[in-house]
Amino acid sequence: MKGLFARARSLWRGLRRPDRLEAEMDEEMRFHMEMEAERLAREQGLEPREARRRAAVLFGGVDRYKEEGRDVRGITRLAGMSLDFRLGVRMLLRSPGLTAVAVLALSVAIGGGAAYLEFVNDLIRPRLPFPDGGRVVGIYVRDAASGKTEQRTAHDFLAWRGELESVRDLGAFQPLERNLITPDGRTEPVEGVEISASAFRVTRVPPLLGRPLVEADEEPGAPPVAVLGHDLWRSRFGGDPGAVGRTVRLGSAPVTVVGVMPPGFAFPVNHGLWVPLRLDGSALRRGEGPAIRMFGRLAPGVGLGAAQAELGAAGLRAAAGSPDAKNLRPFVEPYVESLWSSAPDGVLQMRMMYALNLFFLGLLGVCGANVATLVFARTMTRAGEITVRTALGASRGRIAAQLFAEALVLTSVAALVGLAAAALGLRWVKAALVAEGAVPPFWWDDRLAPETLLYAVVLAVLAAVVVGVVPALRATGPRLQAGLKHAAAGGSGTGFGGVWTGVIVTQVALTVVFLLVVVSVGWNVRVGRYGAPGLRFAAAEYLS
Amino acid sequence: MAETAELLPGTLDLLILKAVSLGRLHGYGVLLRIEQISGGALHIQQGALYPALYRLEHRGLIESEWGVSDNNRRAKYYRLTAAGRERLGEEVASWNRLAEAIGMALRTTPREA
Repeated sequence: MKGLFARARSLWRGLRRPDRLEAEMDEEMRFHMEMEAERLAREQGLEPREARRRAAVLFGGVDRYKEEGRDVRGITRLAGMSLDFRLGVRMLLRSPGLTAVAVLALSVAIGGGAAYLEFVNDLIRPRLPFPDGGRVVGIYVRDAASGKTEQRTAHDFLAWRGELESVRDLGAFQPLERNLITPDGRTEPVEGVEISASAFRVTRVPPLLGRPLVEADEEPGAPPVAVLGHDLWRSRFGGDPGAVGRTVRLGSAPVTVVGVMPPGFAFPVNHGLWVPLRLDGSALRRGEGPAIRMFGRLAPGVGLGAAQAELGAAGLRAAAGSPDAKNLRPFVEPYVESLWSSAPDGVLQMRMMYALNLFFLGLLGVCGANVATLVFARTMTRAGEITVRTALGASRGRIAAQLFAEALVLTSVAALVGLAAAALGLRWVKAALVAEGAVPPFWWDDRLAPETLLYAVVLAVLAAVVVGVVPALRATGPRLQAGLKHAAAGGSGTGFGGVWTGVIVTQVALTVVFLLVVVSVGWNVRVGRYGAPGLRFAAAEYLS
Repeated sequence: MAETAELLPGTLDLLILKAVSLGRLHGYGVLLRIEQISGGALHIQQGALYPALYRLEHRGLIESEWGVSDNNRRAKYYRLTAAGRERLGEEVASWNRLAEAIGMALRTTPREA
């Protein structure tokens, strides 16, 4: 590994200033020959001119050694690659119809794979739009015996709030669905939460107007207050700054509006109204109290592993303390992931969603194989060209490298097209969901994550291997003799035999499986068994 | 003078590493030292030294820097790196094992075969 790094560095240096490399090699070799000439003059008493001539002869061909010197640093191979790329582009432009079809097919595979990964990541492992959002975590408690999540954890929550050092600003929330009755008499349900004031410290988003909730609001006798979400403020209060301080009714209880949050803030999922969570610690025993979910922020410099260790120890202490808690195990995970893990069947659903990526990889393999056939069928004389080149001394690696470069041009274009289509497609899907009345979680954004872009690059390279390298290796392999005879006779065969049979069989099998999966998923969605990609994106899906 | 021997492919690298391990040298100095430590018995095409030096440098086994030679001329000096020292040890051990094995095989008399 270290050797690889040294080589890369040397290659980089050689590429950056090729003229300097030339000059240095020149100077070094000239120095050598001068020294040798001096030695010959000294030891054999030769004339300076004769000595220099002899030294040059002894040295050998300077140009050849300089070329070897460049080769050795890998520069020639890389320069050769750039030529391959240009040739590749030219070949593709020469047959636009075929190129278009190939690009389309590959962009479906690459774009589809990237879009799916982006979609799943947006659901399960998104980037939170908070400062240092990666450190926001969720805590849940699972019963080790039954495997179910226990949400009546108020007792432990209050204990841990003071104890835990690796997770700061520990807070909890409980959904609240009430009717909001504004002074103008309108009564409409609102998606709200009872939440700890620490939520506003965890998210680090300052309010637009007024103030956020504070700890004092959680006291049992404190006046009832609420913070409004931006959309709610605009739709129910007309965006009136005077809304702060007004009293409205939530269900049957009056509350005073104390603040308004900026647009885009909808923590914990897609909520628009926040009231303080009041827990009466003294009265609550384990297993009693409301069903809550916990969240917090990792302390600076503390990793998830350390937090889990501390939490695990706290859980064991609690278990030792009372027999009814002996099976309860707490877990801490990145915030959104914890929401999934604590949902029933959540872990299974997550795994399945990620596993479906394999299907897209299979799709890529099949598409790639098909495109490879197309590319080769178009240039049947290619096999002849390759065999002749091999006979002339081109190494397998060299030919494969050239074909790989050509294929990479194709797949790179396909990847760009695919990514653009994926971005547009996802935006359209999300807009469609919103138009149906679903409220997306606050962390959804329309940009493609860097991971998705990297994934697309990987897919493009893989596809280039399938389209370029595999056929090249087949063509330069042991069938060379037969190929040469073919080339000499002026014909050429594709000669791919067993490989393509395998590809076709795989393709049919995948199509059948694909159909089954689609029918099954479609049926389940219809029957309403899956929550996540359903229409009502409400918090209920995450908080069930 | 003893008969000169042609260098087996791959051994030039080993000799360069050994020569440089004895002290930092420029390219010409490496040539001289190899001649010296092998008792003048090895025949090396002089220019071929340089691709070998560049290859070793590319792999990080030796490192170079420009300096001034004894006669006040600019020359590129090479030095063994830690990785190079390690590799030298490995290659020497490997070479010795090989030489011993082949030597033993070649010493077999008709009776022992």
